[in-house]
Amino acid sequence: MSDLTERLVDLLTRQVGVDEAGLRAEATFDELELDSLVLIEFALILKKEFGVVVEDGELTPNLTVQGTAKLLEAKGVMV
Amino acid sequence: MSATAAVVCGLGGYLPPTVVTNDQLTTELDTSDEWIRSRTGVVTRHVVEPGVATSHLATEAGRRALISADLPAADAVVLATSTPDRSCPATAPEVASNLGMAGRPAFDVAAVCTGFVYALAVGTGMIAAGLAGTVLVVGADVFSTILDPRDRTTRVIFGDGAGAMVLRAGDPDEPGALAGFDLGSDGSRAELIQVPGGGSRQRSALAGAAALTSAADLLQAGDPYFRMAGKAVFSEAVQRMAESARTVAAGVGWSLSDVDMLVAHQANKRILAAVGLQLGLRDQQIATHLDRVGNTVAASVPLALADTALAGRLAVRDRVVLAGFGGGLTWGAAAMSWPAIQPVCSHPPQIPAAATAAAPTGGNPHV
Repeated sequence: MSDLTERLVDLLTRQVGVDEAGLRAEATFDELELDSLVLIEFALILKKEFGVVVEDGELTPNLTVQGTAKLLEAKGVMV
Repeated sequence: MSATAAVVCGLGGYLPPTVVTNDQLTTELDTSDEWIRSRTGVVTRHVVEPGVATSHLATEAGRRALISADLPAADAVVLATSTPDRSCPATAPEVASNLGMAGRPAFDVAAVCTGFVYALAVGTGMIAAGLAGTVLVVGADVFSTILDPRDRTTRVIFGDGAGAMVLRAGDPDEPGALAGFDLGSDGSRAELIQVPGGGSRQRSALAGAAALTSAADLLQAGDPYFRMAGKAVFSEAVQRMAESARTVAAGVGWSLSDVDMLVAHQANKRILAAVGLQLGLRDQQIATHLDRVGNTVAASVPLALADTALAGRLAVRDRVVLAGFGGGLTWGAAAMSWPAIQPVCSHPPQIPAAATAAAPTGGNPHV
């Protein structure tokens, strides 16, 4: 797991409240049972944490945590 | 600041007696109590009986605020609402007359869910300018009258109600003084929260259309219901309220950990949680009232403040930040210290016996 993916897992467990036991980096948000409001909340957390803007619709239900890390890297986030 | 400060000296709230539960809504909408609770946090909301309108709720809340302030009247009435009794005239003059205050200046402020904070700023300005020694500021809405009964995204969220404060001229150092404001708007996103029809835009557009034969034709041509783009609004609400609260606190020299209570517009419990997360606040620092009354629009902030105080969660001089976000788009926040007043509400919180036994010392006495 890359450092950024690890940070995302940490944010999801500590701030979003996802159960650590079931959290795999390859799981989709849908599989993790995160509804659309949670994805908006997560986008706001990412903005606060990394200063990056994630538009409504970029965090899709079939995006994985790993995929989110790639999305952030493409936006210039470096850990 | 040497200008005269506006000091909060009374607080009142009024909810229409009829309560609608989530289970009652599920008989008419494709939804469930569990879905409503988890997505919005609302369990019950109050709705007006047929024939009851904003002026009635505003009058009752205003009456209670004046009792709380131990004053027979105020020098002016400022009413925040986006569901006025009529589009013309404003509702405030009738409310003033109902309260025995005919002759005083009275007008409406339209800023949807930011309305009360905007109206407080206006009342504060009137006092600072010496235009009034006391101002009755009311937030009242009856959104049940503009909701699409088939729209589960809005019908489960909103409730009717009214809250009111009495402001008087005083010193900036007094408990109850409104110490600072931060207000803003973004009209480029006006379409996110709206009632599309019924106004001059619709009428003007139709003026060029084929001749309309009746008022019924005119009404049918525009969407008369309240519409809201939920996801975009969610994101904006969290960011704007958090930023505005942060700005107003910094402006009066408070760190966020200094804030004893954030009384934010009760739009949705997930929005409140997200704002709390953005600002690093603990749950105890965030007022929660929407579970019992839903989103009461302009009444939301004063009702939540009254509820929090009556539950014994505020002590005199506690640092309180009020925050709102609504259609316009508009947003705003105000910083105040809690005064030694007793709010008067038609539906005070039911405080369990165990909680009253453990009530914090130094707080306001329970009713």
